[in-house]
Amino acid sequence: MSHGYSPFPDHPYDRMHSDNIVYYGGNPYVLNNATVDALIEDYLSASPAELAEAARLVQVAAKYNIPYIPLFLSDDTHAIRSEWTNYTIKPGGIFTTFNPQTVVFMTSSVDNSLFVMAYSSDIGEMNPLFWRSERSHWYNMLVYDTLLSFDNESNLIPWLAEDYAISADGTQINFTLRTGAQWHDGLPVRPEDVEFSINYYKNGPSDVNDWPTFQHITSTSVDGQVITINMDQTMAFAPHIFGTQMYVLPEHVRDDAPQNDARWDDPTNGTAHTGSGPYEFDSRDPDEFTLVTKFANWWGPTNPYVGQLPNIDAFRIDVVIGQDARILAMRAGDADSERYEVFGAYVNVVLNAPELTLVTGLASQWDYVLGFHLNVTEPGFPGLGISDFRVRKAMSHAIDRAQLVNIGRLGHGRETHSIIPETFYASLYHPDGDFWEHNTTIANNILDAAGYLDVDGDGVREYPGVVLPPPPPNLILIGIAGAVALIIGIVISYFIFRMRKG
Amino acid sequence: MSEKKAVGTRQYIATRIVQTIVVWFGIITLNFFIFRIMPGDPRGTLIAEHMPPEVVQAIALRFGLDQPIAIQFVLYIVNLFRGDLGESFSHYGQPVIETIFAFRFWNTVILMGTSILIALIVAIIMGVIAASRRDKVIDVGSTTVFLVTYSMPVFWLGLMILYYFGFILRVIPLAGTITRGIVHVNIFHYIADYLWHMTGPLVVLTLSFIGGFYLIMRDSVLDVFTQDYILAARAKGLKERAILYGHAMRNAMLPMVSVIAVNMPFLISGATITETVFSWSGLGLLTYNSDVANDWPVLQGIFLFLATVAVLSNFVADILYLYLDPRIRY
Repeated sequence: MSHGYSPFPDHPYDRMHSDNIVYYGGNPYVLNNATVDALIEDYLSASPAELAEAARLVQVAAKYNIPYIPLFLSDDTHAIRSEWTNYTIKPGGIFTTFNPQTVVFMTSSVDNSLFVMAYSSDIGEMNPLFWRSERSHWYNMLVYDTLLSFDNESNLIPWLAEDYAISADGTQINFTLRTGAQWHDGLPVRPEDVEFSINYYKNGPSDVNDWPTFQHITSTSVDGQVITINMDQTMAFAPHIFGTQMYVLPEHVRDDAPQNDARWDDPTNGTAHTGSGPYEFDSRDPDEFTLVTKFANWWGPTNPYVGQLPNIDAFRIDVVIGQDARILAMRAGDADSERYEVFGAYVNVVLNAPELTLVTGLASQWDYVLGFHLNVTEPGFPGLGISDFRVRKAMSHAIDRAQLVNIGRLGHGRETHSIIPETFYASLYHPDGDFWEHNTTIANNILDAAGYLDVDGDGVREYPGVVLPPPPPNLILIGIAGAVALIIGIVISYFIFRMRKG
Repeated sequence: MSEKKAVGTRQYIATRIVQTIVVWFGIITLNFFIFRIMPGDPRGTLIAEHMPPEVVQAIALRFGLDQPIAIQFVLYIVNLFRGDLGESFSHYGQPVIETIFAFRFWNTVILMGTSILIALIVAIIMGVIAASRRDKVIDVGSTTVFLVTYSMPVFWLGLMILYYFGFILRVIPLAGTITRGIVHVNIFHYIADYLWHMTGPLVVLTLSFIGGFYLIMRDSVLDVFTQDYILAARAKGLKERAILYGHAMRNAMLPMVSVIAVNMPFLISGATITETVFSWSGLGLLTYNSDVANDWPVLQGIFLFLATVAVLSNFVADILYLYLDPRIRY
């Protein structure tokens, strides 16, 4: 199965904590282990000084429980028209919601007036509080700003905020708002707008994105350009969530309507989509296109991590359903790239298209794992099979990840050995959490020692204690004996018949 | 019509009305349960991996997915009679009625209606001509051509048209119902742009429909040619043209009423594959997207509408038969 990484590694909670063993939860493996739960809770509530060690312990816990085996990350094999260059290479790919740099720095050798992104379906929602897919999230990222963003190594960097600070115990975060930033309608972005946004998220309905994290906010305040958030507990990724997942919204537009008001999704109401992002909403025809145009007064030039306005004058998101049609659209110049990477045989189609470039060499955010359902056991063999840690460990030893990448992704992928892989999260990865090396001899030895033997010689190991049933009768011998008996019977009958006749 | 016959007809119509209502109720029940037993969970669409359990629970509550299935069914029936088909999962929070009818319904009706109409006209004309010239070049030729177009997978035909006419020759657009990002100067500009975008899917659908219609029409006309009244018409010395269009074609049209009734649901359901290939935003594409996203309310809404049209069109066809063919009495 596959999952997806966010730019910060909070996924151990989703995938391994017992809170997420719910019908359609993030822990389909049903790992229900109090020790692991406690380690994950420690990890998520670690102060900045404790975080690395807490991350190490979580990785080790995964290694010694193996709810799933990390296999590989697919490469972000993105197709893009060859005239486009200078997109930002960072973990996750060139077009992710945590890569706003690409839309700023990307440039064309032919024409920078328009970049068309082909989507396989409509963006759906426009309201940044309720994005439900990476498609709508990417649109939100164009129109709205976050306080922070990520550099190419996934470290936090100032974005709309010019600075941020976290208290030693991690319960207070200060964001310093950049001066001079404007909304698309020309009004200034005020620290009060940031404070309003925080409380707008917090006081919204509970299906607002990241709503539970906002419930830990006890107070907010504004002092000059500094917005302070106080929390009732330390949350390791609170700066990431408040800084990079919350879109800053204009109080003068939003304060008179609830968070889920229909106007926030109404394409005919341009005012409703006022943001401060690098692009401003222009027009939209659902299921057809969504157009945003460059915001000439964006604050980008004042941020040393940006230093400029976007190069491209307008972005248009077009709906082109089929992969074939999207490649043809790119080749024809009707589209410049597509939202997601290309797969399988289409990789070679793109490589053979002279108009297109295939972006390679960086990991996408999609990770593939071999998952187990730890509650599934063979009747009569409780605790054995995939419920048996030794079996999962042997499987972990037996898997050749390089071969999987070659077969499954035509070589466009990279192996993962930890649940927090170095490729994606270099700062929190720890080699102690690396899963078991590929070695089939060790795998076989583990299974032999555990009693999983191939007792019937058919090439498949049996559960420990399985007793073979008695061998089936030899049908050939029975057949021969029967045939001999039949012949003898016929011969005897013949002679008896002759004797009576005689 | 004698009084006895009139009573029989009224009884027949009353019986058909009752049958139609019973069938419709059966369909709406099936319409609810069929999505509950198929694989997939709508929360896969609604709930991203990184959503905390509280949000997962809140979303389930909002859409009533936490309720027992019996309660969900009662709510579904009650809301149905209030005209409330619920909210779309994949168009988060949007009423299903709006998702279906805002524009997708009209895109489908225009595309499918035009293609069925063209296919019917061509099929009727060619069917009559082919039957009247049985085993001649035009009969064999048109039968062969229409059998080929009828047998071709529409996704393949669509992709070929997209590739050759859209990409190589650049005479049709590759996707959509309108040119993206342009401001149409007036309604005529919009209509022309819309029709241009409709060319590809229209050709594919028309070609795929003609074959079936043509074969039925041709066989029907051939059957009529064996009737005594055709022989009588010839014996009276009527011109072949008058026999063909005045007698044969009119009588052969009767089976086409059934064909049209059977195809009415297509008018509404759209052509999922064709709409997908050409990114034509109609109900077929909506069905596909909703299926992929496990968007139960939208799928239920589409299928309910579709079933209602199917049941009603069959009912109307049965009633029409009474008036089109004086020999039919109950």
